[in-house]
Order: sequence, then structure tokens, then C-alpha cells
Amino acid sequence: MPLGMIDHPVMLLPFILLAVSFLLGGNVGWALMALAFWLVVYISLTGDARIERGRIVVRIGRPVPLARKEVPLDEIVEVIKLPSASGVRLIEQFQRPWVPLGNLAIGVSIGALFLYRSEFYGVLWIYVSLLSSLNYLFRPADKRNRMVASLFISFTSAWAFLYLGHPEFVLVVALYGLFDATFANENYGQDAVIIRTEREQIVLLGDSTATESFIEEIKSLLAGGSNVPAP
Amino acid sequence: MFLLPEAMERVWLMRARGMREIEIARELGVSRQAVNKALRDARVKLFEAFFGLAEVFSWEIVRVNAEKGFMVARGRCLGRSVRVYAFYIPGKGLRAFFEGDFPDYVLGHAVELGIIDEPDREKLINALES
Repeated sequence: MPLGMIDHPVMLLPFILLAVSFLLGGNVGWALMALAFWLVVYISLTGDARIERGRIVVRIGRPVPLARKEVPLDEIVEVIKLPSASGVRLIEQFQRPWVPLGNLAIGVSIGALFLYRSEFYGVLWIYVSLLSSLNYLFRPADKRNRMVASLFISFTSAWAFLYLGHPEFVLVVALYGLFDATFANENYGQDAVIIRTEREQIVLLGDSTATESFIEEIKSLLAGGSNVPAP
Repeated sequence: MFLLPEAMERVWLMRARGMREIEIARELGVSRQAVNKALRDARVKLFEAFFGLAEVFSWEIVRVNAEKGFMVARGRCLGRSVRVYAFYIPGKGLRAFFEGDFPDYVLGHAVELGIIDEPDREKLINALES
């Protein structure tokens, strides 16, 4: 899984499209939903962060980037690797925390809208939105609290499905909750590299292999022997 | 022993204490561009030194801050995982400490650079870790 940036405003677009599609309904709604789906596929599968010609280049979308950011290596002030930096909370590191929080709000709102229309799968929307935001809200060191929160949300959602007369979804939620709690114990989903310059902060999310090799790349470039003269 | 060149170290230290580039330039009587260049070069040299140190001892890098001149890493000692904190101390070079066993001069240095507001070991560990 390549490293990717999730706090760029472009990341809000598919969720906004999805919300609008549910509000409109009909053929326009279906078209917007399809557009949102392909946008998610394009953004999540083709974005990456690389080191090219002494610069960190972050792209959202390839070959046609929807957003692109370049940081020269000599502008880097700080590099942080998660989950090893166990006291760092991801949501506090985003330059635009309102993007992931906006996605959470949209997901929960769509769920609430469905519940308002007496459509039971609104619970599923709220459940998945809340669960996927836990990685940003808890520090890697707070594993136990993260697990308790995950189990609590799963239990509440399972109860809501039972209450709404859909016991078949209880098993789905129970299994998903169990997986999430297990992964939380391994800090899965909290692998990130945070690059800070004097002007901005970039959070790159990925898996442990991607973060590891990215740090190695920076290391080999920066520790490669710069013969810097005194001013 | 790794040391920043004297003039570069002076500029870096002033910035680490919280002075703005323009103030440093005024104080030293040089251009802001020269200060910016010195800071960039100092950061690259510090990254190079910290990464090199981690490489030599096979430490896993957790955090490197070239602005305040410190590194947090994870190493192994007698078969168990230990936290390593390394600092660039002006005039002394790099100093590394295991599990937050900081001498007083490191606490004083951290206060001077504004990493912590009082010389307290726990506070310094918290500041480095979060």
C-alpha cells in the first residue's frame, strides 16, 4: 500500500458527492454515486509519495494528479514515524484536520439521514464512519482505550440492529468489531510518516513496509554525505 | 566528533531559541537569505548526523527534529527494547541517553531551547515523545 495524504481538500470530494447523491436520489443521484465510487478508486489506488530529484513529491491520483505537493529535502525540519512515536495523536498532526473530521461528519450525517428515513442501514454508515476515525483520535500508546472504544461502538451498533429488527447484521458487526479490536492491538492502520517543514506539515499514511522504506529513502538521501560549507 | 561549523551553529542556536530569521539577520548583520541558507545547511547536517548515528548502532528512528536538534530512536540493549534520546549540544556535539537518563546539562539545554519550561526529566520525555 503506497503512502498517501488524506488531509487534502480533494479527499472530501467523493464524500460530498455521495452525500449529494443520497439527497437528490433518482438518476442524477445514481450518476453522482458512480462518480464518487470511481473517484475513491482513483484517489486511493493511484496516489503516492516518492522521493524524486531530492524532493518529496506527493501526488493524489496518477497519471493525472488531482493534487500535487513538492517539498525539497533541505526544507524538512522534522520527521516522525508512527506508531513508533507512540505519544503522537494523528488528528493533531494534520495540517487540515477538518478534512478527516469532515469525512467523519458526512458519513455520520448520511447515516442519520437514512435512519430519519427509517432505513436501517444508516446504522452501518455511522458504525463504519466512527470506527474508521478511531485511528486518528487515539495515540498508538492508548491501545487499550482504542480497543474499548472499538468494542463499545460495535456493541452499540449490534444492539441498534437488533432493536431495528435486523439480527442478521449483528454477526457482521460482531465480526468486523472483533477484527478491528484485534488490529487495534497491533496498531494496524496507524502507520504514518509525518514530515514537518517551517511552513507546513504533511501526514503520509500507509502500511509498515511503506513507511519503513520511505524513512530508509530519506535516510539514505540525507545521510548520503552532504558537504555543506559554513556560511 | 560531529560539530556544526561555528557560524552555522550560532545561527542554528539562535533559531532554536525561537528567534525569527529576520531578527537573527539583524543581530548578526547579515542578509536574511544568508541566515536561511545557513539554517537549511545546518538542518541537513543534523539530519545526516542523527541518521548516521542511528545507522551505526542499528537504532530504529522514531523522530528526528533538526530545528531543536534531537532524535528519539528505539534500540536493543541486553535483549530488550530501549528508548534512546540523542541531542545536539552546541560545542559538545551529539550525546545519546538511554531510557531518559539525562544529566543536568541536557535538562538545562532543553530549557534553553524551549523544549520544556523547567528542568524536569518526565516533562522532557513527554515533550520528546508527543
